[in-house]
Amino acid sequence: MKSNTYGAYTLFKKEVNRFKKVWVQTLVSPLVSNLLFLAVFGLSLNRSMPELDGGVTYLQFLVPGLVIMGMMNNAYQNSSSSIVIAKYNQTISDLLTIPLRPIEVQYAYTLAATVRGLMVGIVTYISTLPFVQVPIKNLPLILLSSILINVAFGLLGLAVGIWGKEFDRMAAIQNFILTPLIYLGGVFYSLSVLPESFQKISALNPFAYMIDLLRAGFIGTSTFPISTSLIFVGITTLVLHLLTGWMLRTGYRIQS
Amino acid sequence: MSDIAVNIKNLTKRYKDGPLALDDVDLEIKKGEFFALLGPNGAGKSTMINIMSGLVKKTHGDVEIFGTNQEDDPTKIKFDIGVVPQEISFDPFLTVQQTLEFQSGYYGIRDNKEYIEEVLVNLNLIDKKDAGTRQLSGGMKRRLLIAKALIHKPKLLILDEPTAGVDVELRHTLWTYVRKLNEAGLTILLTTHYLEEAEALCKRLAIVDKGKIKAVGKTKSLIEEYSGKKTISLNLKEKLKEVPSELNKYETQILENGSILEITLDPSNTEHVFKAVGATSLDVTNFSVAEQSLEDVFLKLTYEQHEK
Repeated sequence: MKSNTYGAYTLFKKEVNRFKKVWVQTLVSPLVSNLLFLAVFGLSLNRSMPELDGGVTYLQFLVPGLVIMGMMNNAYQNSSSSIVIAKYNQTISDLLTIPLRPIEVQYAYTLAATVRGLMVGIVTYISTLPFVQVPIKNLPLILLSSILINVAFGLLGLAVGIWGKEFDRMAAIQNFILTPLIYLGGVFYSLSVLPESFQKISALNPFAYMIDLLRAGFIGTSTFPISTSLIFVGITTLVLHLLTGWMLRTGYRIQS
Repeated sequence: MSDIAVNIKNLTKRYKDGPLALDDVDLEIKKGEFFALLGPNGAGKSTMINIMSGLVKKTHGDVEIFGTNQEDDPTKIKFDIGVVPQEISFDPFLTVQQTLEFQSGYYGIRDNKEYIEEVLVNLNLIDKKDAGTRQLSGGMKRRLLIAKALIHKPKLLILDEPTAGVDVELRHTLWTYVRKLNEAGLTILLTTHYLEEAEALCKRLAIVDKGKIKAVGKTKSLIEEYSGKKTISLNLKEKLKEVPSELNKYETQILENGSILEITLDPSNTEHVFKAVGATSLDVTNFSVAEQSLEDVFLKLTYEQHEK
């Protein structure tokens, strides 16, 4: 079986093209909601919140959380909504008839989701610069972890898109599972300020490690050891990779 | 190189919680043929081609296209075939030109501008190349589907009910175009439930019903074979309750509550039938003879069985 790299690149390009065409919805609206969070939580709470280790203010703590949240939501939404829209438009059958191997389809979607997630992350970071200077303590860690997180959420979106028959399902997963886990995973607060019992529960939240890891790259301190988080994030990404790979290979919910 | 384009063996498909859509089907199509799968809706025609294109998973059997077994290399087969699906669906964000450029890209073709233009000119869509796919009329969408299927120069073109819901003029335009493609060497497989379409385009056809191939052969000889058969209807003075024993060995049918007896004739038994009728006590007041068309054969092979 020969690989079709240019074909996979074309699918990637089409996916990027898709979110670029509706850039107000896909790039500007996450930016606006993140700036709102910054205003609501940051500007109101900043003064009353104590500084964290290493003289990190609450705003400096919050901004990396918003960056991660933007990446997670957008990477997830990019692949999940693309698949569900394709099901709705009945263009999903194209995925089966074009000469791409399942793994090429998987990479094209995941990469496009990663590009959108990274764009939202970068735009969010830059847009907060006038209000707060967030340090960049460890750039390689930021790059590595943000790529892993975007890939993981791109894959997750792909899995949910393939599984879900309607927009309902996709939104239900986002509203009832992803958003609570993201909010409770330490986007807005440090897990270390929680009562011990809640800290233990939070340690079971896979997203808490992702959020902690990327934030460590910015502010230099973390709740969990960096190596633990890296292993955890790596394994999550791998599991999602295997799951979506299996779904595409077996034609799960797409092939009758 | 073998001259076989499509070789299907023992192909069976059972949908989840559904009926048997294909029941142990064998089919062979030669390179350069224009072949039709003729059958009523739900006969299994689309299932067969959807298995070939990768949309549907077969339950068991073998599909070999241009010598490649689907199980060994499904991607190679996707390069070799172009499918015009029954349902019209396009990415609504793209223009006609972009749709075809992306489609070319999926097949690994980097620059296909010239060929895209050629296909658009041939299909009379060139004026619409910058129009969004949503702005196209039904007939234009149908033609764009054909353009999309041809854009990577496949060796086998599969048309799934290409003229369903299409007006007469467009139907004939499409026929002329696909005929030209076939004359240029493209192998074409067509599914249709219009007999006229199969007769007009295809030298060979298979009649498909309820997941089985009922008859396969040259269109002309299928017509000849069956059009040799005629039916004679005898109008009777007295209503008939049962077929007289002298006529038992012939294909007969009592119609109109017994006032008409219909007997199927073929060239070999005509003489005997007339003698046998003479030997009965039937009082024939009038008679008429009708030739069977392929349409009747088709109906006989398909619809009648559904009623049983």
